[in-house]
Amino acid sequence: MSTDLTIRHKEVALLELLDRVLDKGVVVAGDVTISVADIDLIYLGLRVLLCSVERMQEMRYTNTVWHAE
Amino acid sequence: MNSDQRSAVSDQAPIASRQSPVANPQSPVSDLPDGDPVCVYAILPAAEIELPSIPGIDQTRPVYGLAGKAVQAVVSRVRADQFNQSALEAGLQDPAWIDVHVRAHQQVLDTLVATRQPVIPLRFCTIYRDEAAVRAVLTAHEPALVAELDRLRGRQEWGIKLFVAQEALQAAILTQHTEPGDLTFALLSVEGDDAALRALQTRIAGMSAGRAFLLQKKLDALVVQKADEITAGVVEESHAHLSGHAVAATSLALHPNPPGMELNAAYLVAERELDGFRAELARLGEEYGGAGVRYELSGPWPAYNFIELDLNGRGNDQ
Repeated sequence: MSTDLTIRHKEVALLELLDRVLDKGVVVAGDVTISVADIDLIYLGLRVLLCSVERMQEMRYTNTVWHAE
Repeated sequence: MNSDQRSAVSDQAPIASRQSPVANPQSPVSDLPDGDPVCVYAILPAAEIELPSIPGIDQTRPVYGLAGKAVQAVVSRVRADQFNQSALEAGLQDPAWIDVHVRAHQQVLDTLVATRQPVIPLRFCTIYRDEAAVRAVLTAHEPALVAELDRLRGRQEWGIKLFVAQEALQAAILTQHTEPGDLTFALLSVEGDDAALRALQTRIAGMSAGRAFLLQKKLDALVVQKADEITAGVVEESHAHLSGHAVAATSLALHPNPPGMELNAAYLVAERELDGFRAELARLGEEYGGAGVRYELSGPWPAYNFIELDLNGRGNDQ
């Protein structure tokens, strides 16, 4: 498989990662030490938060480029 | 990975319990404190895979394989004082903590996907008391895990996001539809109200300022309406065409930032169909690029959006 089109996940927005890692990762019952019962709520809260955080990062990035030029 | 390793069968004889099928000489498991809990990242076939030495979500602890009979869990120890209930609850309130640890988690998954073995990705921070607890889960669910891994073999998840730059699309509606040679012409002409748009444009040009203002408002509304219709059409057609190259497809929640996202979808693509999938994406990009449409590809991901396994309903046998 060629890797030229493979996106490094470092470049992927955190929100896209959370959509998968927090929301879609398989939940396995068992002798889990840490309760993940609230992780759905945490995910939803983060979605709301990140929408503004990512916009801030974008603006910061734009600023950096602006000054660099 | 070489072909010998790929051909290793998943039902080979069980590996000695403390040995790791993940080739990772720099992580002698016996050096790790037995008291620390175990974070599980994914479940793979028991076939030996080659992994670089990488840290888990606890940067001081490497990832290794924990063999069951036909499947293995890829795990790392985590320090109990850093990854206990209260520490995790605090961490999960902190976006910076989440960013670092979710990316570390995904780094492990990326490495596993790169081995070309099927991967069942577990939820972030699935942490067990000890290795025995992880083994118990593998044993309890082994038939379902094996069946799911067989189903995922040779398939990859790819993400596609479709963005529409509204200004570019609206400009295209007002200008490009007068050039029949343009690919966008066919798209923009489908709705059949070009004549109304063009008549309005012509009328506005010859009018007094006051009346022109009112008609311009009407024209703007028509253009927005048409842009919405075109956007919906492009989204539907793109998803249908890309799905044609996929085993399964699903659309995900849109992200408000960056603006203009109209489709966020995941596709489960057989490796042999990957070239066709990419060619379709390139064709769509060429066809609709002139109308302000842009596609973003991400992957390969573990098949997060296509896992049919439900292990949540029953506990293990402890």
